[in-house]
Amino acid sequence: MHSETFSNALRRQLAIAFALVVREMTTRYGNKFGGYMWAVLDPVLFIAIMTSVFSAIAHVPPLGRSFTLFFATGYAAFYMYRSTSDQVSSAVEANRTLLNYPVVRPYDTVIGRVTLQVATLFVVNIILFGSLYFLVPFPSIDFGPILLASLIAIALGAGVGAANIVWFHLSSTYQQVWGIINRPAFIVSGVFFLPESMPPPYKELLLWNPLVHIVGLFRKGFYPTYRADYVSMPYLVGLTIFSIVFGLFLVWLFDAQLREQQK
Amino acid sequence: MIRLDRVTKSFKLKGETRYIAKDVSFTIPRGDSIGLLGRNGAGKSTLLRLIAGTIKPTSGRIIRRANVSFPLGFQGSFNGSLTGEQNVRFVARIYGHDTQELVDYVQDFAELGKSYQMPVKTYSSGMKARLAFGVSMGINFDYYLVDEITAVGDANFKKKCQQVFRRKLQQSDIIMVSHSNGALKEYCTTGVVLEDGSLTYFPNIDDAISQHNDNMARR
Repeated sequence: MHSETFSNALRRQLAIAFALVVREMTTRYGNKFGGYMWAVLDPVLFIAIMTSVFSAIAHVPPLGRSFTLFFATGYAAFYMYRSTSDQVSSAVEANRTLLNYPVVRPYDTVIGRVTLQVATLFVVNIILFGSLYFLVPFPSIDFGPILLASLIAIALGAGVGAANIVWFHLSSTYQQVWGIINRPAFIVSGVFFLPESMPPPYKELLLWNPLVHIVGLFRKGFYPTYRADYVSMPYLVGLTIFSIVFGLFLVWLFDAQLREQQK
Repeated sequence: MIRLDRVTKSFKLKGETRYIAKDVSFTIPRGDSIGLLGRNGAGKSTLLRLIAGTIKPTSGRIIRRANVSFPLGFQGSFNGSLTGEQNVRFVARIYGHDTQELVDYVQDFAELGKSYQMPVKTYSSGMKARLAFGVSMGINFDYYLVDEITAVGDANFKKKCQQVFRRKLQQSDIIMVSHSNGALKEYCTTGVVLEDGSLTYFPNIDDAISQHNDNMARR
């Protein structure tokens, strides 16, 4: 195996990632199609609940006229980050038995999950916004910011999730704490308000949260007049690249520990 | 060729450090089939997993200039909701093996009939074992790792397994953990005895077996 050329090794790596994707596609939610429905139903239910609650207590959403579109654009961006980070952080534990094949490394399970996540989210968003279009036609759509925000959300989620594979493995207390702290994360991510409307000290604090930037960038694609001046690309791109490099590095570094049973 | 270079493997048990191997170096040349002997808990299975590469040494390194198998007949990775055929496809893909060829081989070998296209969770333990053994035989490895050879299926199937395995061993070698002297003598030419973290290599399996018996008599 050591005499393998680089291109051979790469081809092998891709074959393993592909095998993991196919396997997870067929087993992720059981063998039924109904399981996949949950990937779509999660955002749909959230948007429906938020819409009915907020249209009861307010007259107009912070942007545009449709509560549904406002929450859909906010939650879709948030959901891409959140679901990717959740899926990736459990990649190694979920595929633990496969590590008995010496050719499969913890690293591969991360690559496999991220690939599947990209495909799943692509389909989810097409279904979500495709059907939304018939409900509340949006005047125009600019794919540039939408795709960029999606890419960053998934990459950031993958980086955070990969780092969490290692942290969760080392400490189950941390895993619990992380779960509790992150449960209300969507509240401070600008899903149902705009950071512009926040008074000074809170606005600055909120802008440390990269998800606020991602949500703002994503919304720019749906609301042509929305400027979202607070979105800082250097901050967002820098943080995302750092998190993905750091996360993958950790998984690579802790390869030996991850192969052993969790304590 | 597989070479262990100053390999140490230890783990902590109730604050105490226990050694499976302590600064061990030796080379397993191609053409030799090797038996691993030692008392219960000496770390034979751990050593086998180290050689396979599914766990890493605490220090030192293991160099593999050969294609080393997963444990023979390993079935822990079979996903119950996938069919036998889908599980075989997965193994073929990760080992870069022609998928259809392996699927056909295992179908022919494991004699599962229609069950081959049924979820593995509906299989009996014998059927699962046959599927797993078929996968191991369908891929060509330089070294087969065996953790206690277990008989699979009825008398006829056992006979077929032995024949196929023997044919395999004309090109492949075997690294085997076993408590059965018969199996060790049958399959292995050389032996390694594990005792208290130290490994002793014997060029002749018979010497390894008698050393192991001495160890067992001593304590």
